Amino acid sequence: MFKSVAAAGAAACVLGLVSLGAVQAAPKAHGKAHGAAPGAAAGHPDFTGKWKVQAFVPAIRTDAGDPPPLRPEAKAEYDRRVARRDVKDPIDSCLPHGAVRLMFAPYPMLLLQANGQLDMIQEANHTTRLVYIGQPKVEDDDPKWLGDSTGRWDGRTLVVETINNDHRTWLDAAGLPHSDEMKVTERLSLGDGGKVLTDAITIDDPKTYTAPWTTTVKYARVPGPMELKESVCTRDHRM
Amino acid sequence: MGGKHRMAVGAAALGVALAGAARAADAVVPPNPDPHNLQGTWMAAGRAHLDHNFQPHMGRGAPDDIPDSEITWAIGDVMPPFSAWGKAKYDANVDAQINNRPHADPSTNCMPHGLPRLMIAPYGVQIVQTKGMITLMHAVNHNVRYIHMDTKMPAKVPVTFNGYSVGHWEGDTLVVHSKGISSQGVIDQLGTPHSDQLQVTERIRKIDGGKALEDMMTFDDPVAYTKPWTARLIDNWDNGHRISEYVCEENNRNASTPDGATTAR
Repeated sequence: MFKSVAAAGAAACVLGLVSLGAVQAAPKAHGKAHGAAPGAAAGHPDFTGKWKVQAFVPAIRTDAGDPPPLRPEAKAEYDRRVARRDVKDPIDSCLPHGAVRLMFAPYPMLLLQANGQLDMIQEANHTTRLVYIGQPKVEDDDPKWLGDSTGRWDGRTLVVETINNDHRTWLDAAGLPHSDEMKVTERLSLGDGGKVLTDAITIDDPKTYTAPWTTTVKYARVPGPMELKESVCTRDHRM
Repeated sequence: MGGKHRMAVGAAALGVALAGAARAADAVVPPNPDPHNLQGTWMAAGRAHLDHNFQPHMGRGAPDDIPDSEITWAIGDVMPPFSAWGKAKYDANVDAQINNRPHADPSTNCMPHGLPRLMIAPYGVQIVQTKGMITLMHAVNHNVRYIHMDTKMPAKVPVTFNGYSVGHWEGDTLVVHSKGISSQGVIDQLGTPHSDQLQVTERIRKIDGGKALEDMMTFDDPVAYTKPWTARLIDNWDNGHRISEYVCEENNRNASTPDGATTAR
């Protein structure tokens, strides 16, 4: 996956040099910008920007540095995945990362905060995750690869709760498991004068873990235009 | 999916007082009257496919055979002004469909639909507007389009499925210019072709009191067509519904064969 996405990026760069031939002049931009809705209501931070994890974490640990507290049967499944015994990483089949693992994907991610939402677009296979702010949770719905995410403000922190998480996703590249009943609570905040985004992720899944646990991931802003390479897993990965 | 989900969202948007009366199909979030605010979910009208007699159902049939929701070519011709190259490709694609061996387009293999086919695909799209850009997040296979506002088209852009787009407002019309569009894509599901010389200019505006978006798409492709031509697309306001999760990769039964046909039946 990681190699293939990098290769896709390289391919896109190469293609970018190809002459487009008969190119007509771009229409002239005129008039002032309209319709750019402010991302955040007064008093709330605006997470809009291009972000990337500060470091790739192949195997998640708790904030205390411990392995997550797996139940024995879940530990057996985890060990099977780590050893890749008769099991394939779902993202190697171009399946979605899932809400948690998406936050650890080592590629740029656009956050767009507008219209009562925080929308996340991860470069890896152009995966979109939408957080609806101030709306009630979607209870009793089908599991989804990226779950159902709702947000609420706690001061300058956006608290995101995600339920309906499809158990087929892994929480990390090693293979950390979860059940359909996992509830994820994230606390998103800006630090260092807006240069660092912090996401403290709490996993609450009694079927898989003996206790809720928290892991924190930090992101740096990625300079340059608000765009992502067109990463296409089913093309680049030759599934 | 959808039923319960939509109901829940609808009820939420209506608020407590009216929640009890909410039905999934009811209007729950009225259209925004601001012509420059395109935010929210829209549902592409029309079906990007042939009818049961394999007649092109993209506005090229008899005029009274075209429901309002169909894409309709805005030019007077019933067929686009094909070049010889374009006509040959079009005929081959239509023949393949009639013979039940439709050619694979990128979406067949869970790749992005590509512009302009993406805009014609009959699924929802959610639009968000942030500083300097308008982003279109389509339900269908999580396609994304970025429109960079009030900036010049770069001299060189990468060739991608969904192209590179710049936009600006002319009055209440959003004008979007796109190029760098891979020739692997097609204009519609029928297989109306284009080359990698294709440039698309869209003129998008709210109509009908904000209940619909009109997208006048002009295709300028000197390889496939003898002159630019224009199609009219409609997206209907989707009442505040969320776009559904759509994961082609999960269950791709229609992957293409080595000879480029799909396995769809």
